[in-house]
Amino acid sequence: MLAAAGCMGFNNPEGWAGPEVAGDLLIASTDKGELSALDPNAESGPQCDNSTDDDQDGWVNEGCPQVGTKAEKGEECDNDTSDDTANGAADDDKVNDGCPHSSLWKFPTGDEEPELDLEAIYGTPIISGDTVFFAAYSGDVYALSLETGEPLWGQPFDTDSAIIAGVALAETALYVADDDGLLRVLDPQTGRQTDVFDAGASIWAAPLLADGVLYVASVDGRLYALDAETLELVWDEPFEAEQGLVSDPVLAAGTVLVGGIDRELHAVDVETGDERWSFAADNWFWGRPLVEDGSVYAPNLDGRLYAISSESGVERWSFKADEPLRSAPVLAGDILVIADREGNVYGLDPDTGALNWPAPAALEKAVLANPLVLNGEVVISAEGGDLFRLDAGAGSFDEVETR
Amino acid sequence: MSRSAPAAPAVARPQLGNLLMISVIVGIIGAFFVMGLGVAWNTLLMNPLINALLLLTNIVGGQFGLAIILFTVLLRIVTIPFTLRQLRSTRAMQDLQPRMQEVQKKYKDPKRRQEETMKLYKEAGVNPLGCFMPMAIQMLVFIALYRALAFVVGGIPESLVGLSQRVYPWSYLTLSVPLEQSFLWLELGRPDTTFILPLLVGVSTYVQTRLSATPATTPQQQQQQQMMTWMMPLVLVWITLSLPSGVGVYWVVSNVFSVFASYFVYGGSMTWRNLLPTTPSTPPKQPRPKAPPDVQEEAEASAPTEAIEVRSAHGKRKRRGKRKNRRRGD
Repeated sequence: MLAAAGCMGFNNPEGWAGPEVAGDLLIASTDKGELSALDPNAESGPQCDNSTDDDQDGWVNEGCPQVGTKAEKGEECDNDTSDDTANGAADDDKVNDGCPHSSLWKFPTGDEEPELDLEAIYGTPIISGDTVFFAAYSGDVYALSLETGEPLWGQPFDTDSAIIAGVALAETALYVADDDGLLRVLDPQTGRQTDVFDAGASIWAAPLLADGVLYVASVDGRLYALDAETLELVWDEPFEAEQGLVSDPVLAAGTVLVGGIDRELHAVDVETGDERWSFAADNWFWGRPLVEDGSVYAPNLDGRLYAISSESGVERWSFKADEPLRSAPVLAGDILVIADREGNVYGLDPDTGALNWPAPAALEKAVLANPLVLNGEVVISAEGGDLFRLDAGAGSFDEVETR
Repeated sequence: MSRSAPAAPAVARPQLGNLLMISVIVGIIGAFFVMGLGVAWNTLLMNPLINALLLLTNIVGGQFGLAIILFTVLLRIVTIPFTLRQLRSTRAMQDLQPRMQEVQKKYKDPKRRQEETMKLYKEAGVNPLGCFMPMAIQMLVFIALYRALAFVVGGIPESLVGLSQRVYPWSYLTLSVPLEQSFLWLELGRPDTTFILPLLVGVSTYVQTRLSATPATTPQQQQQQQMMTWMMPLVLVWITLSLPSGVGVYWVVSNVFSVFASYFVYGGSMTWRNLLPTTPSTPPKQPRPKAPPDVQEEAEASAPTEAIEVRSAHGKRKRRGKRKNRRRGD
């Protein structure tokens, strides 16, 4: 009987790390428990008709469409010749047609001894200078070279607990919160722990660092304000919600906004820790709210995106998506973009909440990760690490091939 | 204690039991037809089970491991009519074995053999589907429970996003979310790396399977059954090694409950010998010397399959006599 039930599978962590950009590199989790550095710009149009590296990224005709009966792949994409005839196909006279975007490196490489299994990555990586910092569900924290993807610390820092929250970075400190409720301070240069704070309950939301204060939300409903240097409590008492706080805290008009399982979005005064207002919805607030021009755009697992006044907490409008909203909204130009759990992406008017496109863009892949705005386009990381580039003006999208 | 006495209720109350079972089946099929498969599955089975698990977790002070144990026991109590019916049917089938083997030997024509077998069932008031239907219903409930555990036990963020869509709008239910994963030596959302739990699952499944085995009518069946007796626990050990411990906890508690239910039905006829493996036998070519009545009684009181062998050779008159007596008693 259990065997029959077992055939239906059991949930495994997949991760929902959002993409991050640094210069010419896009850092994204392109597979479960894997981080890749990609060339965010593919060649296109006339650039595909020659056999030169037009964007001078070291790759020829990457991302160009297939021509003829055969696309090039694998090592054929690494040279600047048309390899069709060598493989028995008619020569289409196109170099590297159908080759995916270039992946400059990925981590882990698969060659590590012993084999590395990061399980999943939930927190969006942080890039500082030439270093990428991220934490994995396996409990390990890494610092990688942005250029090569090689680990910079002798050993990753092992928290001995699952990590779901993203990391926060100051000049001399990397803050990592784990499922055991420990907020650890690491030296970003060496990866050694220098301090620790015990929140007493799991921390699933990325710590927010602002003006020397670290805001940490825990699943027992507490929001702590800590001195970023000493980890001492800034408020007399932590703010307490009735149930777990799971959304990444953000700042808005002198308040910290944080939501959770109690179905409320709380605006907590940054000075006193007192609640200024709260906004109730029909389900959990798990997605990171976006604050823009006096409005808070808060996604909810009831499938609604709420536009709320950041001063008063009064609802301005709400938009109902087809499925629950975990992913954070982003503003691309003057279009507010939000993706639901089933991969339906909506482009909204931020003033009215009206849909700007004739229909939502259907990626047909689950989206739980926070998107990124890059060169006017929205980069969305979907289930399984598939990446999409969405034109927010037209509501059209392309899948980014990764290798 | 006589072996035949506990089987009487299954024979004595077939109409009420059938009515109840048919009502349940018709109700389930009707709901699935009216609401649609997915909606009915979620609304009638999955969501109530998930919310019950959350409620129990809060009641036991946020200890999710205790909640799983309590939940399993409650679920088994609720479905005990089906469990008892299944065990009693098994028991009744065991009692019929000597006569069924006689039919097997006596009639070579398969059609005639089947007719005679059905006649035998009818005469004894045994429904051959009596074992299957309760098992099917339990299976449905258990698969739903398994899926419910997948949502609640996993403890991973993705499953909690799914959970948010299934929790009833009563804030008390989510007080303990995300649930405490530590219980005894286990992390309920992860496989048990100490191998203790898989071992417990294997042993308890073996015991439970041995005690509730339907009797085989042919040596081939007996051989298959014996293979299953070993294979099932081994497969479950292997599966448990890769499943969250919470599912293993459920399985062990459920097995222990089944063993108690078997004891309730089989009573004194259950001995430690029931747990010993039996060797597949071939039909005897020559009648064995008749055992003295006291030896025969002793054999009947021991493992069911061993008892079947003795009775198949010599117990015809005695079994019939017992049935006659029972009918008179009715």
